Amino acid sequence: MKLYVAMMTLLLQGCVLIPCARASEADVKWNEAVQSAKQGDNDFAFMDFQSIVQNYPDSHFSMLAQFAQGEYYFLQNNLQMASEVFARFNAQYPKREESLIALAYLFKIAQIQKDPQAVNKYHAMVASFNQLAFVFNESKSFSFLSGFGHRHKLSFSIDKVELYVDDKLFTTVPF
Amino acid sequence: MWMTNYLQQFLFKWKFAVLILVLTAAMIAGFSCWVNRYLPKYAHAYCNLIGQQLSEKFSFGEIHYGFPNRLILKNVQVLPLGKGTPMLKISRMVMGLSLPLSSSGPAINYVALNDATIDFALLKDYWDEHRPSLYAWARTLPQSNLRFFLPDGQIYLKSKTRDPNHFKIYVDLKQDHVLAHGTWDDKKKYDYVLSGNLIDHGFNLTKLTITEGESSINLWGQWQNNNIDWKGFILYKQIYILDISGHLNIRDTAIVLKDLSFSVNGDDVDLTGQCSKQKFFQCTADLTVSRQKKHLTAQMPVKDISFHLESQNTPQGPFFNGQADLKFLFKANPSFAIPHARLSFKNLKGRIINASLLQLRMDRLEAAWSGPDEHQVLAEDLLAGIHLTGNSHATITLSTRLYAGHYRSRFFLDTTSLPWQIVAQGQFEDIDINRIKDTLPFFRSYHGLLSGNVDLQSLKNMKLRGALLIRHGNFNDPHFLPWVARTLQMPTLEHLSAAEMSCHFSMDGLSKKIDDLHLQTDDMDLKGSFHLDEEDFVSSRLAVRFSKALLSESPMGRSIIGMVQEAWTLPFEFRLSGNLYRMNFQWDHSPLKDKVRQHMFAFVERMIDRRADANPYTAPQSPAFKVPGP
Repeated sequence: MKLYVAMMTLLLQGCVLIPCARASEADVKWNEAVQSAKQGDNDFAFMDFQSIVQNYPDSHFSMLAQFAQGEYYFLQNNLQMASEVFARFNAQYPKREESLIALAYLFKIAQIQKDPQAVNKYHAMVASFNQLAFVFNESKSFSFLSGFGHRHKLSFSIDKVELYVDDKLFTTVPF
Repeated sequence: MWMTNYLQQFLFKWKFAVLILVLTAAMIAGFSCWVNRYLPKYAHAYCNLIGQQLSEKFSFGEIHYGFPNRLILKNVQVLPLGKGTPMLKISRMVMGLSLPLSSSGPAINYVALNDATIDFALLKDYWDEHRPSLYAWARTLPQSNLRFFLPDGQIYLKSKTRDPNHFKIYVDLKQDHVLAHGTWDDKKKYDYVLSGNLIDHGFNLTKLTITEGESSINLWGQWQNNNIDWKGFILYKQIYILDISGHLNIRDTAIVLKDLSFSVNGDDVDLTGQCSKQKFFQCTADLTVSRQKKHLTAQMPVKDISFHLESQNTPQGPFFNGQADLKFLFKANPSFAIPHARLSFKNLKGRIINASLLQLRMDRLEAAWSGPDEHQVLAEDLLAGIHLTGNSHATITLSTRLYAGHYRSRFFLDTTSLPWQIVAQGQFEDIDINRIKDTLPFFRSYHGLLSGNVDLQSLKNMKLRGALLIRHGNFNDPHFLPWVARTLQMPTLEHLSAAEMSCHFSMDGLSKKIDDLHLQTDDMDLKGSFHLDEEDFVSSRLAVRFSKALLSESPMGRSIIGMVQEAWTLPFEFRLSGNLYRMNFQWDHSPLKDKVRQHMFAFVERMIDRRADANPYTAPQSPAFKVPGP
């Protein structure tokens, strides 16, 4: 009987501890990726982000890593892949404010690719994302630091959303 | 000696020949003189006889006999009896008679006319009146081969004040074979060739070709007893009418078009119908058009057309009733979600004012279409004028009674190339809004009269402008009021009654604008504009002043009353933007807002902003909305 209790205890501890170990692995991977990005090794950083998405999909870093993948493709000027990753990101996290940043990227890519249908589609999605009320304030903002260390800031006003990347205006979506 | 004899003999032969020649000439001259002496008398008598038989007056200035078989008439005129104007005038007419002359009368070999002038209206009246006697008379003429030449004819189709049309005719009738060709000048020059054979009780048309430039009509077929069958094709500019196949049956009482089928640039057309022989214009016709899928465009998504037409001849003239059914393939134009439409008219009457102006009048025109709902437009006492202003241009003016009001418009149509270009301008006045609610659901919340303008530029760019004036109107859920009602928590605003409203409105394609809006009730006075673009994005600025009672209804209003003295006298100015169904709101800078802010701490302002975001009507989609930071 004691033996059974001891085995069950060990089994339960294993069930609890293994995810913790995996979570810490994701944490380590994330730190490695961010460190690579800081050192300018974007390709290594991308490999680490990809590894997080594939191996730790339930980790809270998975969302950030996915966004970083899209960002990497965009910085590499691989607009097609960037578009696919950001669209997938938006589908997977439709209610996260980061999704609006992904949509702003998609809007910008559609503008660069001169695809009017896609421009209209993402314009409508951005404009319908939030319903905003400005009683006393005339703007609201949301900030997000990406895996590659770029500070993204969404600035909302009554008739437009602006996305700033590292304090530079990246794109404006009027509505 | 031999030479002398020969000369004498030769001289004698010459003398003899000359003598014979002189005698012959004298005989011919004498015969000609004799004929020419009696010919006018005989010809006048013969003309009178023909005139009596055919109810006409056939006269000529001179008549000459030309040896051996020619009769030459000058200044020939044919007048219908009782008319002072000739229907046919010929400067010179030469008739060749066949020899020997038969006992039944002279058979004519050929007829050549010079400088012939025809008054078509008189000739047509005469033909309509005396057709049977003309047929009977023609049958009494001796049968022979005949050639007919008219190299310089002119015909007045309508009025002698207009230039005549010039034409040439060459006809060769050889036994049963007919060959005719010539030209017709009507600003454009048309060449025609006709050949065929007379057969028992009919005519076999082997070729009828009419050409003008690169356009042509080509027909062939057969007329036998009471049946006419024909086939052919027509090429006109970029329009190809091919595979023409028709069958017509002439009965005692009616002419029946059993079937006429053809294709227009690949679109199939079928036509059947019949006309009464007793009553001209008493007809029925059914037309169906099936358009090829590849021809369906966003501008012209009509797939199938069925058209039924009935005409009745009355003492007041012919009247037409008709109905057209149109089926649309709205995949060609996703914004045009109308699968089916019907157009019917009653008591249509047409009147040709002149060659370029047609006037149409109808008692009733009804258009119905089905989309998500059934819609119907009814126009009464419609008057339209179609004015052709060139070969490819027309101006259409339209005036009608419409829902207790009146509608007038002018269309400019350019058919130079496909699709046709349409530019239209119209005005409507005093349309009863109650009667158009089913047709235009936008007006379901309103009562009153509607006046305005309609501009249409091609089918793809429709513009509508107008002014709306509503007195004692009831408003249920117009776009911006429920938003204000729920945001400010003023339930009274969701339904307004006894309201006065005025605005200018415009529709340009799918975008809509309301400007100079003024909506007033006992409790509210709203001014501003409301624009909606083609993707349903709003841009609106409004200023609204509430009564003290209404302002007290809202918790926010009560707070404002507590802070600002006589707050109800100051307008509440705000802006709306974004998706129509998820509009963003901003309270604009205004004296009221400035006064409220004087009484507020910053944290209270932030709290109110958060509450506004938490309002179920304005709640953002993302619950993770946070300010600021990740």
